[in-house]
Amino acid sequence: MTEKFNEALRVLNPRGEREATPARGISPRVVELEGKRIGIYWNGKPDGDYFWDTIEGLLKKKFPTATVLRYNGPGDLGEALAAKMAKEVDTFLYGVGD
Amino acid sequence: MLVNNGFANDTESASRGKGMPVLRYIPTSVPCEASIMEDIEAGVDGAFEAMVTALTKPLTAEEKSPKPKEIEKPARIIFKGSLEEVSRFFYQRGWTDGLPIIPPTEEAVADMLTGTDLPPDHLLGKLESRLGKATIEKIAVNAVMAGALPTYMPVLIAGTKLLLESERGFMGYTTFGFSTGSWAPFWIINGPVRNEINVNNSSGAFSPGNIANAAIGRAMGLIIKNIGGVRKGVEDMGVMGNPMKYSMVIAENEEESPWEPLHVEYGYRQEESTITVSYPQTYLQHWPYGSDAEGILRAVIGYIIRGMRYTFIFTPPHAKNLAREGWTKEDIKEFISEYARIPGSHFNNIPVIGGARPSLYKGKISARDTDTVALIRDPRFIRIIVAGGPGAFIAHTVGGGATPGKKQTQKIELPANWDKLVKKYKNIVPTYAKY
Repeated sequence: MTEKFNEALRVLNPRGEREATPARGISPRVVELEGKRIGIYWNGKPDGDYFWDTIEGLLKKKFPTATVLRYNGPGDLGEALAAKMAKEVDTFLYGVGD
Repeated sequence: MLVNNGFANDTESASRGKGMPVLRYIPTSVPCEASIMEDIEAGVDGAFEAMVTALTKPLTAEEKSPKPKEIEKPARIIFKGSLEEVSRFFYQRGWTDGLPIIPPTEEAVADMLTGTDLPPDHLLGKLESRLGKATIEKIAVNAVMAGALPTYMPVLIAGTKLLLESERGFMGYTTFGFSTGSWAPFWIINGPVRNEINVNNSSGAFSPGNIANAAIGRAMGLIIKNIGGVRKGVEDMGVMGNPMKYSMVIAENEEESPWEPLHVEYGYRQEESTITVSYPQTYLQHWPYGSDAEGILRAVIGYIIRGMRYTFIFTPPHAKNLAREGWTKEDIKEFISEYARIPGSHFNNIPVIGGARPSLYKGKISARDTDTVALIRDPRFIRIIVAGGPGAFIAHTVGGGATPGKKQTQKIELPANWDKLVKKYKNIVPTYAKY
């Protein structure tokens, strides 16, 4: 058996091949946050509200003319909610806890 | 996007996997699940300027139109070396579960492929998260590595299909595989195939020592890792980890159960074979208070812990005692969901599963010990099976799983030469010497 262990074995790749995926750029930025509608999306895991409440408070303090809109949903927000948010906000912060 | 420092690799992997090679994210020092306001405020203060910059700084050329990803098509023969060198090569690339592997040579993979009628290049689908192509050959390669026998191929193909066809968000062990919760896939095999491939359902059903129980779960773990791309500490962010991820596979003891087997309950025929999955985090065992229905069921609700989906595993004697007193599986599920309760004061503000944001619960649930809250809101979150050896223990697996009514079971399709294959491999069983 020892000899067999030392034989050169040609082995196959275990990883699934993958196709090239088209690369997408990120959304255009706003020039400033004053007066803008800022969305916060959160998937609602326990205690995350404390974090986002703090962010919202700081945003309102620093940019008093900005409006903060809060959204909740699953980790992957999906097309319908994404389209709704795209209409309602100028920029947004996306959070997932899991 | 704001992320905890420890999740930078995970964030980049998720973004690249979705076709966005460039992402603006800000690592913060806010501890995960923090509820101490000083910690949150300190972390947020440190990241606030970076966050504002990320939202307002004009995009770079690369951010606007990043370079498309190149096709990942590595060589089919990936390495040449001795047994030890192969094992080390695979280990160092993160392609194993840490244990040595059987080298997937052409010969070994061809032998594994005798377990299916499907051609090697047959594509079952693309497994999340890296969308690796789950071909029959790739399943066979990972099956060889895990030490599987060719007769397990139909089970592994069904297991992979089950992952591919799971509901949105659960496809390919993503949600539970990525979670910090360390949920382990738990596979239950039903129908005639159980005995034909010797899946243990009796003494020590969950313990190591049976090749089918060990290799099927191991192979599924390697398929998830190497085809799907769920890797520990990158995509799989389980905080504590879980030894059940090595392999958690059992069969149901249908012969000694007084009830219809799980797959029949789920709408399959008795003579069909199936594989069913859930994602427990916890496995616990306990004695009953007595061997009658009251003693068994009171102990079950006494030992129950919080979770999302429950599988209770009763031994054949306990199941028979329950059935003799008239208890069906549905009766037991209803009893548990009604009487597994905790005092309101233990509930705090943590939502039961399916609930809304914690803030919606605050102050709305009684915190008095005299008021109780049901742990399980829906009997469909409960599954009951029969397995285990002689003795009086009851087992619970507690964790995650499919939404009631969504896919959790897959039929196992057998090749035309099945009887011949079974004959060839069925006698591979451990025989213990007497001493």
